[in-house]
Amino acid sequence: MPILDAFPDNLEDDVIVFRVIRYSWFEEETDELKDIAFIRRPNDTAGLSVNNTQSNASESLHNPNAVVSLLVESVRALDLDIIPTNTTHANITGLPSDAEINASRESKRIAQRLAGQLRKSATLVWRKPRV
Amino acid sequence: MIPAYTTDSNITYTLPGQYVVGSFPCAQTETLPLISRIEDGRKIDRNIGKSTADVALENLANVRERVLQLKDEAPKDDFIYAPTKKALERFERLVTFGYALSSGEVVRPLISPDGQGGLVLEWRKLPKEVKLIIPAKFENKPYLYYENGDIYDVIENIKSDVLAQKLTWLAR
Repeated sequence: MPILDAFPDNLEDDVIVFRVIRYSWFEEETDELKDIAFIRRPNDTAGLSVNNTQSNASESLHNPNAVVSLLVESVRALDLDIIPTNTTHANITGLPSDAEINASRESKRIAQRLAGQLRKSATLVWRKPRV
Repeated sequence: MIPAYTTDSNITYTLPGQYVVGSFPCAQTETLPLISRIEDGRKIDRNIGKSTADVALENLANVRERVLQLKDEAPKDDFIYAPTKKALERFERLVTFGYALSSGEVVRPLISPDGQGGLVLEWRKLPKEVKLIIPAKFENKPYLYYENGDIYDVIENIKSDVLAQKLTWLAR
């Protein structure tokens, strides 16, 4: 399965993408990823950010705690998509926005279900060393 | 649930069943909530703390401690870690009562800030999961998500007795 040096306009199903994980999205004691890592916030206007490489993902935050990988095919299996915005960044699209979640019960239901599904599909590939 | 007695700093609820919960401070203070339990017709007061013999209250003390640790976190990378006063008040009411009213051993929850001053608690006992979403803003009400394999749903405007039912369901 390929890790791409640069995203093309369209991603094949077998591509791996990477998402940076804030320290509060990751349970240090048990190595468990939290669903909140896959819920859109108000500034996630176009979707959830992913990158083409682990290093590009970890550099997207000042203080990253971990990086997870996702297979494009497993994201599309949830009726979502991954759309590149440039050669190193893409958005997971199709998740309810923050405004939609606040406005409707069905969006809450879908957003929470999909967050759990994405979390289960994600593989931890890097974590900050414990001090 | 309607409070039976209210002052500026304390709220006393009389709940159906074996618990009465009172002397209930806001999480902004370091004071522990006081849980009063009716046992053999006698009212027994217990501060929530690690020394309690009641497993649910001991677990609650741990959860509360972890939530209160977030209070002093500074925002980083455009992400708010500290819960707002509103979120803490909601947490105190929902989760304190939820634990006090639940039966069975409640698993340790994952606790996360939502980045906007709210809180999310996740209890997992696969294939069952319960999530409590506590928004920071008054206009966005707390809700609960539960899942058991392919069955999943949301309960809006969640109250602590419903949280207690779901935590009991999870513990089974």
